[in-house]
Amino acid sequence: MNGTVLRALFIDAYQQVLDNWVFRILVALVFGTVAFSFAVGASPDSISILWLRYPYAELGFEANMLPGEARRELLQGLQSLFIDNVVGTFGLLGCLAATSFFVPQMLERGAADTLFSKPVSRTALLTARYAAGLLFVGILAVALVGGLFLGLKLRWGLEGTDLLWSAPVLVYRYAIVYSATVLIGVLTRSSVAALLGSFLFLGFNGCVHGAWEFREFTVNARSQMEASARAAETRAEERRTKKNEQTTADAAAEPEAEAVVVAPQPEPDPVEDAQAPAEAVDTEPESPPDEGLSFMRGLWKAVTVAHFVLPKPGEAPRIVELLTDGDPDVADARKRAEFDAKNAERVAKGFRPRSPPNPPPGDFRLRWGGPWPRNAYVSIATSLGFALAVFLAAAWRLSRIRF
Amino acid sequence: MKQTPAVSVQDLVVRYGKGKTAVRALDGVSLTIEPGRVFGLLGPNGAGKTTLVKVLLGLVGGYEGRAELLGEPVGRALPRRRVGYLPEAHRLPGYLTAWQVLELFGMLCGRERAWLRQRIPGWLERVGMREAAHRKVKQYSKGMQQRLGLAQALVHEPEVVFLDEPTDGVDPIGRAAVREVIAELKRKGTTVFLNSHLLMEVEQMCDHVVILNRGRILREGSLEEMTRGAGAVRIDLGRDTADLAGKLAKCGQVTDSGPRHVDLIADEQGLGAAIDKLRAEGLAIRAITPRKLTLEQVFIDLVGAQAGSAPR
Ligand SMILES: Nc1ncnc2c1ncn2[C@@H]1O[C@H](COP(=O)(O)OP(=O)(O)OP(=O)(O)O)[C@@H](O)[C@H]1O
Ligand SMILES: [Mg+2]
Repeated sequence: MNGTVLRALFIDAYQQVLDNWVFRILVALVFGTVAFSFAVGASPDSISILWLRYPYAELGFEANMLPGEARRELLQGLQSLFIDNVVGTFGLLGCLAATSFFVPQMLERGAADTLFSKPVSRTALLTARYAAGLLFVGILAVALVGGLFLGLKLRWGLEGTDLLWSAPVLVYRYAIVYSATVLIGVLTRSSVAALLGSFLFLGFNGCVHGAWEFREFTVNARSQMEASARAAETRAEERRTKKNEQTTADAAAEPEAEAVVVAPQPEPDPVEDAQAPAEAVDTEPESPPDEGLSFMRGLWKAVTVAHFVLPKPGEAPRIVELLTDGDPDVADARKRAEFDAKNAERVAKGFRPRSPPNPPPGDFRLRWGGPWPRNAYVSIATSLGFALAVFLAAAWRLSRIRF
Repeated sequence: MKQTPAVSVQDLVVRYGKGKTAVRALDGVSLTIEPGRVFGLLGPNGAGKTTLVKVLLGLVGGYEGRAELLGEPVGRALPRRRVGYLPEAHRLPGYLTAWQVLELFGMLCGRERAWLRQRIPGWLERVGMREAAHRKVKQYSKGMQQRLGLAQALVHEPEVVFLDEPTDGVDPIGRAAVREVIAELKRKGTTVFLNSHLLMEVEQMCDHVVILNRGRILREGSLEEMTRGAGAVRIDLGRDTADLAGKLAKCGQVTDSGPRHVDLIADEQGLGAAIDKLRAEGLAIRAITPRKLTLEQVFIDLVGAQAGSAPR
């Protein structure tokens, strides 16, 4: 393939994207959002709407209502909530809807004959359509994120370079799902099926990851509770041995108080839930409940395997956090240091210090260097691997279609 | 030196479907087309004409036998730079204008944009699409799409052109334009492969013809050979005679008759019998002239003679 052919494929992709009315709506939404960030600005001492400036003092607020720090927090909130989650979810759905017909339309009877008789390989044509989808989303993501970045820089005076990470991650998130749309499109050669199939796939994908997350969470929470229960027991034991010589009444009261903490046993996971009543009723070894148990075990195994095989668009916001905040431990330490500094300030001013925020329950957050179920590289590699495998399957199927 | 044939197929078999519903769209076709010819591919609906073209363009794989295009196995993409194709019932990308379509497909065939820009106006003119050149294809009528499809097949100046029913849906003026375009291709030495049901047109344009039925070649040859019409004669009589066709029905195939003439296709024996019969009735024969058949007559004769020629 030479440059002219590549250029032709690019022009074709570009024209197809421009002709798309959903694209135009999305562009209008992006433009509106960006325009808003330009229209409204907030500096440390005043808020400005278009060219009008309203100092906070005049509006009846504290003169220094939004110090740099608060504005930075606002910015972070905007990024993680609005861009990574809202746009990452609903924008993704919109983009999938708008691009799901790219491949099936190319394969429709009549349209395919002309295109596939050209001296370009089928795989190249399919890749061009996939790239058209990425282009579609890329333009929107860059416009949105880049526009907000500029707006915040010019109107808020904030250097939101971290914000820029969101754009490639949005494209990544789309890319790992769109390959499935491409495959469905090649298999069905129908725009409607590609659209519905993509949404179904997205839903199924979400359920699998959700189930896995839930299990991770319960297992995690349980082991944590068990650990804290064990710790409490050891402490109680220590105290008991220490206080053994002291009055019995004193010694008894404390461990009992601790025991209350231990008492609510962690939720047993569903596997054992299914087992427990069965064992009570039936004690024969080859009983149906065992089948139920092995079914549940099998199900969880399947969910775990599926979780690793399927793309993980839902982990995209966490990846942005890793890219901007660094590993959770580093981020936690930094936040703690900031908190402590603020507390010290409060104490210096004569206020009571605030109690530190609770650490997140169970540390199963994604990390660059985390154990493999929680490793960001694994998440990205398996997602991209899925996309590649599915795309290759689509290319293989396409190579065998008789037009 | 022998030239590389434009198209060469040997014992080509293409099956669709499996088991009871399997169809042999092509059933052992062997064919060689020398470059520079205008080649007509005829046959009833479902004969396998489109299938043959699609195999040659790499659109239909999984065939048996050998198929080469410009001396290279079909299915290789690169040789198709020298090939143009107008598919039957095709659709062009609706989001492009005529100009953009020609530019895109020309570029996909490896032609530079600047090279194309010089030639696109000429092609738009030839197919009568100049005025609509900057409107989107999705707004075109069927005939307009067909005209643009023809230009698209030719804009990169290919050596071999496959036209699958190029005049389908085109108005009479457009048809004349299509004929003019094909005549021009012929003058330039382009090989043209034409599928059409309009035998008058094929007769006007083609110099070589293949008739296909049920995936097999019934007859192949130059137009001359095909229509020379072995045994086709016209018998002119001196005076009006009733029921000439009925009188001679047993001697051969009567293709036309009037009060003073009858067109007959018959071998020598049949012709002798016809003359005897007319003489016996005391009818004066003014002239017996050998006659050229129309392609349509040849076609109906050949295909109609095959049992069950309804499309499968
Ligand atoms: N995609 C397909 N799937 C199954 N059978 C097919 C397919 N395409 C063609 N056929 C069958 O192959 C045979 C030849 O079809 P083809 O389109 O080549 O005919 P044709 O000569 O071009 O007819 P027409 O004059 O109607 O265009 C027909 O019996 C048809 O039913
Ligand atoms: Mg056909």
